[in-house]
Amino acid sequence: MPDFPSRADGAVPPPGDSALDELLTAGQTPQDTAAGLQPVAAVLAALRAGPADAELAGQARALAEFRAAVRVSHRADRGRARRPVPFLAQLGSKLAIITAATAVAVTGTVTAAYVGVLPGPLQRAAHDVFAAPPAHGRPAPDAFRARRLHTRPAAARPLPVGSAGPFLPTVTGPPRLQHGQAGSARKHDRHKRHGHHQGHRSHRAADHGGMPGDQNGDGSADRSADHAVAREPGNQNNNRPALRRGDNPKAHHKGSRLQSPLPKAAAFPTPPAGPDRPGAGGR
Amino acid sequence: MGDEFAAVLAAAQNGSEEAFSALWRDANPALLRYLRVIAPAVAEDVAAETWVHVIRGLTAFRGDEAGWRAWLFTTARRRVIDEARRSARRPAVPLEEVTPADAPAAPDAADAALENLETQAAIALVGELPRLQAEVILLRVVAGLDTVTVARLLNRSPGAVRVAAHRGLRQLAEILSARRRNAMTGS
Repeated sequence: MPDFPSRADGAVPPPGDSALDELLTAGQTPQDTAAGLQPVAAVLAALRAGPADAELAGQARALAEFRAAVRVSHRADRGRARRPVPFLAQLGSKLAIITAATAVAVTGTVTAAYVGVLPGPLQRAAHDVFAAPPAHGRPAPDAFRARRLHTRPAAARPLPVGSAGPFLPTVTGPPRLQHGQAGSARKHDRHKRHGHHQGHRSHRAADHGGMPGDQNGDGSADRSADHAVAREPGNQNNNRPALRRGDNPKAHHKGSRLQSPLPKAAAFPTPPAGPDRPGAGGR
Repeated sequence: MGDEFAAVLAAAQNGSEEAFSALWRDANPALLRYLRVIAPAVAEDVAAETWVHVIRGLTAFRGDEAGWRAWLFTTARRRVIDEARRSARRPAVPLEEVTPADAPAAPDAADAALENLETQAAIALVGELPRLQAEVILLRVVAGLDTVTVARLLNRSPGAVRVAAHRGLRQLAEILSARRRNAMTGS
């Protein structure tokens, strides 16, 4: 082992931090350092000494690795340069994405139009373009159902009101005004102007299709819904004459939501208030 | 390497063998000295593995000479950690005892040891220090990294690195002083 220089008496004074920091900086020679740190400076100088041959023995191996890596890199670069970018593949994937997005958007819009939840102008445009339900106030949540009925076979389709059909709707119970239906006459006129009263009527018939007395099972017995009449389920007086449209022509133009198209007193007597008709006597 | 470093690095990244040789000759001795302290049994193997990793990532490297050295020694340190994990999973057991007389003679190695005796002795001396102190001194002195870079490499604070370096140098001075005293007493 080499003999690093040291103080003759072997005593080592405690070195200061700044002196130690200077030792660690490059270029510090043992002669530049304090006397107590000269042996340490000699050790650090030996650590910084030039390379020995043994420390350069692995150069050939490292060069071989470098050569192989460069060869692989060049081959990869050449391959990348030769192979054209698969433009069609990129275009195809983009087209697929755009097509899918368009299909989702169109399907969503059409569905919304048939359900009737589009904003007014859009709903009107949809109505003009592909016969979606027209826009009128609050969109009907069951317009889609009406549309489905509209596409039923002709035999099962209810006849329009204005047509001279084989029969007119029959009231099977004492007619009574139902809240919220009196304004249907006005709506009916508006629908007639749009030429879609048939679908609207069928929608109404579908709404009342399950009521007792529906002889045909398809809601045809309740076509009188346009006349804002209904029957009371518990009433036995089902032999009243059929109400015909136009019995009370004024009702079509009054427009009050609570106004009956039929004169209340003439159409049906006010039933006595009972426990099964809460509030019926209050009118 | 100084001002030439950027040009040499760029040439090596473009595939120049001469440039890569210059980088290797400049850094490999320091790398080996560092590895002989923290992984003496596998220093050469870990150094070769380190260069393989460095060559693979050479074209992507961006930085100055200090950054280059920091990258090199960080890679080496990670390889040492990997090697330690690997040997812990599969501990090597010597098949038979080999006496020094049976060991193959290597005249070149003997000459190199004599030639570089002081450096080998210094490495052995630093190897007696606690691991952190030895590593900090080697990274500061041999690799030429500053305190902040060493702290980042070792996942320590710069203050902790500075304290470890000072303690290591003081302990080195005490070891040298004690040896000197023993030598004087023995004679």
